[in-house]
Amino acid sequence: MFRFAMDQKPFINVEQLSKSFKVPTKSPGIVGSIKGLFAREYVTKAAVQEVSFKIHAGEIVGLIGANGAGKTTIVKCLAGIIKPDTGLQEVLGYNPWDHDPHYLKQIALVMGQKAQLWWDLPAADCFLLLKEIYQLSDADYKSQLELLVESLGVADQLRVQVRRLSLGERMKMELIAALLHRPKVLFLDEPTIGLDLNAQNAIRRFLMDYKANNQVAMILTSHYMEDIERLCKRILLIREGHIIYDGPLQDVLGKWGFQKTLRVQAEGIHLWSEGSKYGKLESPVANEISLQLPRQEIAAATSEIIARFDVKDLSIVEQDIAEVIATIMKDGIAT
Amino acid sequence: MTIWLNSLRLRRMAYKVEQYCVSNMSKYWAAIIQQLKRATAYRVDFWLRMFSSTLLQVGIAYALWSSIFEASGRTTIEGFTLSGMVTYYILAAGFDRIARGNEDHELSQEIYEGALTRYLLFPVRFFRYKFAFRIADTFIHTLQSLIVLLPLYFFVSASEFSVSLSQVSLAVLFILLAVLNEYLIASCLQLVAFWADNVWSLMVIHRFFISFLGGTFIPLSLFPAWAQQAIEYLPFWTFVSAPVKILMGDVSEGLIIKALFVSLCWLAVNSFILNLVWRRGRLIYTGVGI
Repeated sequence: MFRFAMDQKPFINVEQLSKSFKVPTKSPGIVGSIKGLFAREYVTKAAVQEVSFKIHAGEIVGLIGANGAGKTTIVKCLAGIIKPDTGLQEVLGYNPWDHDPHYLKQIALVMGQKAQLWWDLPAADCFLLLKEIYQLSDADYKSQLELLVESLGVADQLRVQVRRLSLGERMKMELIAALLHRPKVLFLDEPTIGLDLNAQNAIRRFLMDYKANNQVAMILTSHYMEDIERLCKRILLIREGHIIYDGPLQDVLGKWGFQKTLRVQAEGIHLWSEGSKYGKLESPVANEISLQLPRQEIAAATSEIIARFDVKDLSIVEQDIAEVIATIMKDGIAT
Repeated sequence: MTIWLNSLRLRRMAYKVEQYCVSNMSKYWAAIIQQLKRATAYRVDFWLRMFSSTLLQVGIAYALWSSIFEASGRTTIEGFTLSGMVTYYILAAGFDRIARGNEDHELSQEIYEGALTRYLLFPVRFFRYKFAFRIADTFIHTLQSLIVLLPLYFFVSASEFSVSLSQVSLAVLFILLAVLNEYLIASCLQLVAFWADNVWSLMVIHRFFISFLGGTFIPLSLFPAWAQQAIEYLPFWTFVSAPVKILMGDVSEGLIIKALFVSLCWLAVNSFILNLVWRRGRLIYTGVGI
């Protein structure tokens, strides 16, 4: 049961969360190996540093960051797998580290890189065990299982050993296993990693439908921008353990998408070398240019082009969100 | 009226306790069923383990001791006739197999690979849940041992050694305590995986302790007196040597009480150590691999 009314408090509340790891290191070469027999060297890595955010029911929030930025560490803290060093974390009013069974019955974690089902058994047997673990009634279990199996289209694979399933089929079974007990909070750690395009689309569609029909809070980490763009309205950008942006995905372009691309088809425009004063000018074919320029120059450039040439076609293309985010993750945000 | 109300309250309380137990025990019962399915999922492994782990031991012991008896020209060695020695090894092989469990080091592997994570997300008591798996394994090993060794026992030993129900009951009690103790010790050792990169050598030492100090390799009565006294402070002899001696009628009441006492004391110590190691280890678990 919740410790507060659903519409009043956030499902996930994190304040000043920090976590560091002591990682053993070894000097290269045989000398380093022998030294390691007697004494071990460690480095301390600050994985998450004073991170704060809130997530409410019905939100899917994307956690984006480079490898090692701290995304999975945040997820692990909120799932109660690891204990943060400092800070407050509350999920559905519980401290995840307390491992309260009532809390554990309301959350689920799906890890794209780590199977959680038992490899030796068919998925159907795994689900039966989960039914008992989560103490689901026969009716609840049956109805939820039927719904999930039908939505994901895996009825024919239920009796196959998990290890014999393809990656996409296995991922669908992992999702079913995670959603059987109707969790209120779902942590998805790279759920589409390694899947083919069809499987990725199927999983995304399923998650969108599931979110629409159930007021769950989801945290999604993914390196595939399409996952983020299709599923998340809000993102948290994480860089070296800090949240550097928390807000709507589309605002990222408005704030940091400084460039647009102007594509123009006009007679003789490929000879217009003065266009380079606005930005990066390219002329891939005759009578066509592609001009990458800052937003504030668009109006001036467009006016000059229309005045000088008989324009056949003109389009203004936004910078790719993935490119913007990649730049932010690499260079940070200028203050 | 008061008495009636009190008995009603008691009955209601008993009903609630029963419902709680049933609803909570079903997840552990389901774990037992699941582990039984896993144990029988690989047919070749199932049949191979059934025969190799017990028959080989008995076969090697028979070959060794019949040579020793023949070479020495003696009919008894430390009170054992040849058939008595073979009987010892038949029973020891069975109890050793049941006490040792699967030895698959699953817990340490789960810590290394991050697979422990799934259990941390389940609303279950972790070690009770894992022990449910162990119960299933014990059932399988008991069945396998009985299938292989019981006919051998009847063929070799039944004419010389008769066994009463009380002896069997006592032996069963000791094997149950052995399974519990071994589970706790093995779990403690595997939890070292929270700190060490590899615990394989620890598990080998553990296996050696059970077999050597438990009396599987050779009967403990062949050890020097001082060694036997020292071993009696450890739990391993209660895993194999004690139940075998009970079934062979070669044990005094005092020794049975001592064995029970040692077993129960170690149960308490091992539980305490396991709890301590688990709490410390959980603080540094990182779930690597995810």
